[in-house]
Parts: sequence; structure tokens; C-alpha cells
Amino acid sequence: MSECPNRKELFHHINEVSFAVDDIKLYLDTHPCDDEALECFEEYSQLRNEALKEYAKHFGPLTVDTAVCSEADKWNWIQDPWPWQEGGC
Amino acid sequence: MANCQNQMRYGQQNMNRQQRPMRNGYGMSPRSDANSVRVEVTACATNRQEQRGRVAIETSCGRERREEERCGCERQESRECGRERQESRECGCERQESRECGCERQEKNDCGCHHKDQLEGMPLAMAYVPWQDWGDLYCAHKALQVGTVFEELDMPFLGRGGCNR
Repeated sequence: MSECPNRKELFHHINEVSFAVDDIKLYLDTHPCDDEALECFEEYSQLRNEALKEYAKHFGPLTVDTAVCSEADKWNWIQDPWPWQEGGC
Repeated sequence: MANCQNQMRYGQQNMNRQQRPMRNGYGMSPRSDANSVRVEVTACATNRQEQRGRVAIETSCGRERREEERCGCERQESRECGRERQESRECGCERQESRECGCERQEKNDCGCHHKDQLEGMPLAMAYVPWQDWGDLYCAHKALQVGTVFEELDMPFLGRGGCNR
């Protein structure tokens, strides 16, 4: 079983890579054929997805895309506290 | 005053004209005789000297203009030449005191400072944004701190012109 990561640090890491994805996305909106930008977007997008799955696995899903990644056997999307709530991140 | 300027511009000799104060209060020194050099102070603070029947105008900046050239300004006496010129063809550059006064401006929008317009030839009244190319990126941690992942776009507002960090 993998070591449980620090929730706050993992959440901050998700924010960082998500911001990078958003900024590169804006660049791609005006440069849709830029190969370097596309490659960089794929890298950060992959980092983001992995971080979201890791967070959902240990602390519950942050997005509906990772709602089934939790190890719980029930729909805990509405059960667990939101990150801004007490008990959250 | 306007009539007086018109007469100066078109070369009419007013040697026998009776000197009288202008309406705006600027005075004119009386002439002594036809061969002496008469100095007049106009509203634009230039000194005019009559030489051989032809009026040469010495500006406050020291340059000599021909009579048929317009003064073209509403200079205040306390100002340097070219500072508060009210003309419809202002070039928009910041003239320095060492520069020409611009009284011998040859063409429209030519102030003599040789400022090159990077957008020359482009349609007027349009806003243009330079095209961005893919450049160096910050790491994700620093990008979130400064507000952009692109190093070239890291331009914090410093309140004094702005610069690339």
C-alpha cells in the first residue's frame, strides 16, 4: 500500500499543475498547431490527472472524473467534506 | 494683432506705420528712422528685426526664421522654444531643449527627432498586440506564484513604466 501523501501538499501540487494546464491551454487557443505547446500541455495534463487520482484515492474525489477512484465502496462524492470545509484540505 | 501678423507674413513694409500698442497689451518700440534696426516683440515672444526691407525673425530659441514662415505657436515667454506649441500636427514625442524648435518643419508629422514608427503603414485607429511565440516556461510552483507560466509575460506592475522581470 502506498504511503499516504500529505493532503495539503498534494492539494497545492494539484493547484500548481492545474494553473500550468490552464495557461498553456490559453496559448493553444491562439496557437493550435504549436507542437511544443501541445507536448507541454500533455505533460502537465498527465501530471494533473495523476495527482487528482492520488488525491481521490486517499482523501476523496475533487472532480467528478475521479469519483470512482476512491477506495470506498459507496458514493462518497457527497459524503466527504469539501476542501474548503472543516475536515477538508 | 492679427492684422499686424498678416502684414509681417506677406512682407508688407510698415515703416511709416504709426506705432501703437496691440490690443492684448504687448507694446511695440517706436522707430527712430528707416535705416535703423527695429526690434519688435510679438505675442509669441519672438524678436523681429528689419534688415534691408526684409523682416527676419529671431526666435526665442535663437533660430532665425523667414518672414513667410508661420510662427505657428502660442509660446509663453517663460518657456523654451517648442515646449507648449499648440499645433494640429504634434508628433507626440518628447522634445528636449537641445533639439530644433521645429519652426522649419519640412513635412507633416516631422519633428526632426527621427522617431521610427514600428506600425507605420498599418490602418489607423486600431489597437495592435504583438504576436507571442513559444518561449521559456517557469516551473509550476513559480508560475502559480507570479501569475504566468511564460517568462516573457512576467511583467509586474511597478507603477513606473513596467518592465520584464
